[in-house]
Amino acid sequence: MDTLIFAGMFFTWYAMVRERPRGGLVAGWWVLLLAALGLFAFHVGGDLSLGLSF
Amino acid sequence: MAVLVPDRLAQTGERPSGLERGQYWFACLFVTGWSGVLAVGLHHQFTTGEQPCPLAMLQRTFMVLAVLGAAYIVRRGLSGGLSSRDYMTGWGLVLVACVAGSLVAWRQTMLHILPGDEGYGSAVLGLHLYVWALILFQLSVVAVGCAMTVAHRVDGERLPVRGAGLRFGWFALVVAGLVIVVNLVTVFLLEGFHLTLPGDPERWQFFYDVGLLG
Repeated sequence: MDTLIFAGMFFTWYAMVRERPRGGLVAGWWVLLLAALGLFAFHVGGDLSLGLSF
Repeated sequence: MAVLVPDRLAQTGERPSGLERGQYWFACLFVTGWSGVLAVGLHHQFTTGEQPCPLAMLQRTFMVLAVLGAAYIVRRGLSGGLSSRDYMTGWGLVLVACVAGSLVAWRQTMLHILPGDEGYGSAVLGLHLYVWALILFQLSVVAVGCAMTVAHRVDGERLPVRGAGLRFGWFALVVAGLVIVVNLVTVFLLEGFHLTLPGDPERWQFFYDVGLLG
C-alpha cells in the first residue's frame, strides 16, 4: 500500500510538471490523502495499537 | 531585478507587491525545505541502517503530500502566473497534509513518551525523527496559516514568473521529484510484494520475495 501511494504521488508530481488539468491533480491528491489516512487507521488499529485505548 | 512581472506593469506601471512576490518564493522554499527534510530522513536511514516503521513511512507520505501542495503553487506560477485562487488551493492542500502528518507524528511520539522508553531508532540533535516531524509539521501549519491570512490580498490578475524566480521554481520541482523517486524505490524495496510494512521492519523484503536473499 505504501508503495502504491508513493507511486501515486510520483505520478501526481509528473502530471503537475506536465501541466495536466488542475481538477485532476487536486482530485488525485485527495485520493492519495484518503488512502494514507486509511492506512494510518489500519496501523493504529492493528500491530501498532499495542493494546492502548483512547 | 523584479521576480514577478505582472501584465498590468506594462499597462498601468503598477509594480507587483511584496505579497505577490513573497508568497511565490515562500512556496519554492517550502518545497525545497521539506524535500531537504525527506533527504535527511533517507540519509539517516541509509547511514544508520535503521529502517522506518509504518508510522514513520506515513509521516514521509504526508510530507510529500505537503510538498505537492506547495509545488502546485510553484507550477502554476511557472505556467503563466499566479492568482489568489492558486495560492488558496495550494496552501489549503499543504495545511491538510501537515495536520494529518502531525496526527501521525503525535501518535508515534505518544507511543514512546513514558519514562525509560528509549524511543524508536536513534536521536538526531537530541530528538527522535518523529518528534522533529511533529515540530516541523506544526511550524509549517503556523507559517502557512500566516501566508493564508494575506493570500486573498493578492491581485486577481495572473502574474507571470520571470528571472531568478523561474530558475528557483524549476529547481524546487526537480529536487522534489528526485526525493519522491528515491522514496518510492526505497519503500518498494522495504515492502516487497506485501500490502503493508511490518511493525518493526528490519530487512529489504523485496530481495527476500524474489529469492535473492534468505
